[in-house]
Amino acid sequence: MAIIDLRNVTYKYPLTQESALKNINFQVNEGEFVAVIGPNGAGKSTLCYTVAGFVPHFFKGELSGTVEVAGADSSKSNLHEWVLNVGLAFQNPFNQISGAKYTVFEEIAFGLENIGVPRDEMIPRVNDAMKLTGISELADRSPYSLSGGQQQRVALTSILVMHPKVLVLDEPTSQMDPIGTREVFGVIRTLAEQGMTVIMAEHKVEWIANFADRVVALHEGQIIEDGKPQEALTSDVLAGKGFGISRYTSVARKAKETGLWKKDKLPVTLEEAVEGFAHV
Amino acid sequence: MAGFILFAMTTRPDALMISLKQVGVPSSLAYIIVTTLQIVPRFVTKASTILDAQRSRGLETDGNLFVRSRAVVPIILPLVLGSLMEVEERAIAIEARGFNSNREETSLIEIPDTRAQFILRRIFMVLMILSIIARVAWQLST
Repeated sequence: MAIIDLRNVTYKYPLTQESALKNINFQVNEGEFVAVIGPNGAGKSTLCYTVAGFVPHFFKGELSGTVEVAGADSSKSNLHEWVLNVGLAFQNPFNQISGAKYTVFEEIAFGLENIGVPRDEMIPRVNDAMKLTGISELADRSPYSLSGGQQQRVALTSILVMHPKVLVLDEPTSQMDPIGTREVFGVIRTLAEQGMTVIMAEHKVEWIANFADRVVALHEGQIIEDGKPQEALTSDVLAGKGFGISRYTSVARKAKETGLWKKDKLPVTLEEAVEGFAHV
Repeated sequence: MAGFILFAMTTRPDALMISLKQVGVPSSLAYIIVTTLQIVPRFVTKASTILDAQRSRGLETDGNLFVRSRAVVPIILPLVLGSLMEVEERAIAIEARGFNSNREETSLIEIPDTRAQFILRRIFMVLMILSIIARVAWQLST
């Protein structure tokens, strides 16, 4: 059963000439972890905002087609109801801090206060969410005193604590070091296995290859590739369009030219590359 | 003025927000008041970043009064424009966290309004009125 269902979605921001999304058809099943890739300006963020309800409710503009999440139609819903089902965290962590809170703990509780979660339920929920993302030791720090990567984790936790059915993440690890990135991808993988649906716009193809169930490639507002990471990330359709390519794929592609890579399929992960070269 | 700075620096923003809501200020207005108070130190940090950035592009900031006053515009303008651009993202972020939810809000921290606080508030109010009267009376007598 598709929890996200976009049909013939075309969208134009106000005061722009060209559509940011063109005839998008996109279905996602419950518990799927979908990575959205594409060069800058391809429409990744717009797709995220559309699923999260901010397009068109916040940005206005012209939207045609239907957007359904968890059986509800976006055009017939209010944004404040929509956000209860769909959580959104985006790239710049600094602007995601509410600015009205003194500690990280209170910052994370902000969303729960707004949606009226009782206090005795709020505290364990915040504690659990912080444990999940590994920021328990930051609880009493000021959100402004943290590093960019730590702030991104706080922003992610602030959304997770609201228990959305669908999690939309727009480059959530852009300011994290490799260890932080690995941990966050791991957390998201676990959540998807527990039934949360995740849409993540991301450039880091090697992480996507290891963790995502499916990859959707956007180019100039259109979906040009949609499939399993191994197939989608090595597709010829992506060539020359500014997509990130896994270094393992690049190596194997070169090796194939000289006859060193004997398999049909190109690798996207270290394991696949090692396995492929093991026979040489 | 000094009293205001003391207030802004020593009052916890969340406690202020709850207190404002308790006396009937709408939550969006309370949010604006509280974040404005919080924004001052961040404005200072941002201004010094912009100052460094402009200096590295050759902006003269040292010298006589005329040179220094000419440097104000290239610092203030990016500061104001940058802050305006941040507003959109912040609006999205708090909206995503149910800020406009029409459910009854709850609160993590509780502010007990003790009897002593209540009495102190009244005493200070009386003191303030008395001091205004005293000042006016003093002005009139001289």
